[in-house]
Amino acid sequence: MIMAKPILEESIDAFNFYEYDLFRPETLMLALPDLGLVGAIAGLHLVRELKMRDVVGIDSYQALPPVAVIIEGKPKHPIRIYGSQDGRLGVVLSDVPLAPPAAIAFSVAIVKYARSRGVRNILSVTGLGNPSRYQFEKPNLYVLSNDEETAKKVSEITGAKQVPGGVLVGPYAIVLKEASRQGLVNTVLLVDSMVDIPDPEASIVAVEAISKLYGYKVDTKKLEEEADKIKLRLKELMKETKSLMARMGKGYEYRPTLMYT
Amino acid sequence: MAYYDPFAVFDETLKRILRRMEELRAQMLAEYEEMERMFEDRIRQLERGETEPLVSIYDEGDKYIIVVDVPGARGSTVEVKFSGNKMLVEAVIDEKFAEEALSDTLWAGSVRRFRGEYVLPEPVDVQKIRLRRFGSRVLIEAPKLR
Repeated sequence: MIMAKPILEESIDAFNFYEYDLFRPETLMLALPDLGLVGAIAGLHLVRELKMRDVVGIDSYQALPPVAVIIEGKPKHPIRIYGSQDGRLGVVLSDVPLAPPAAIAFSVAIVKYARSRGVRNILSVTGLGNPSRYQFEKPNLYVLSNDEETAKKVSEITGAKQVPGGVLVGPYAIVLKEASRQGLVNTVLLVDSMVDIPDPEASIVAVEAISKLYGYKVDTKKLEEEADKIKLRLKELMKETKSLMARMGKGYEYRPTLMYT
Repeated sequence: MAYYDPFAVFDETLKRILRRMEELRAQMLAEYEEMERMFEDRIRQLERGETEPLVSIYDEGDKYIIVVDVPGARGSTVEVKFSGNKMLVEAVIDEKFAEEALSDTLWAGSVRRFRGEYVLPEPVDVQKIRLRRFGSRVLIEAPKLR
């Protein structure tokens, strides 16, 4: 079976976007491999539970390893956007962790792409690596947004605590700055998580928050039941991600900022 | 008397470029070596039907807190052994569990065991080690040797 021919193809910086459907969501959720793979697992669960279909393939022969991902016998691009059936939500999943230069280029490109497709909100979902995570069962949810009103609303709906301060490192940091520059709302949901072990329990907290925010009925029981299988399945992706996170300067997240009040 | 030497500026710029090129070369080399190591490790482990458990190590001053993740391991088969500053983790993975988790990968059938060797920064007191299992994780409290 050959890869379907896209109906639209666009190059943004080093990345090519191949559209297989004219999908124009209000919100684009970024579920990239990061701490505890919290966003990636949450995105994966949403895609499976909401029966989302892949509508956009993203690739780069300069910035990504030469990879084709085979899913149910079909070749796919390493990064894909999945679209919800109601057309409101797109989820970006990546089968490869992004190395530092690629992460920066990708973050800039995805914000440009989102803006050019009329996306109004970018939702980033990630873990907040907490060395004490093993001590508590239900991890905390935090919100950070470049739009004060949105942060307040998300807090009210989901019970998320506002992030008081700190340093954000990686693609989500670039997306936050680029979205602000380009006039898009970017909200970051962070969940206390293991740093270098996949943390589906933290992903459940993120999925519950997203369900509340967008009014989707997503069963998290299945994610709970399959948590161990997901951990075994994704442990090598976690190892690759950890090695890149260190090179990206993730250590900066574990020190206070210069400015304080 | 001070005078402007355009060649000195040129030399300095050239040195800076060369230094940067050397840094990039070293970085690329390290990345290639890491990829090579990852490839070889994975192949070697698969040949033995093994996979290395993920481990988080936290230094809490007088002790290490170690979280070992062994999803799908049969309860009674999980073994953690210490010797000085070395830790060995072994466990048998439930066959059906591994097949279900890795069903669409052709090499899934070969993964049957967890096995990993880790080096702690300091030796631990083997007599005082405490282990607790919660879900797929094993929590180990290992006091440092005084």
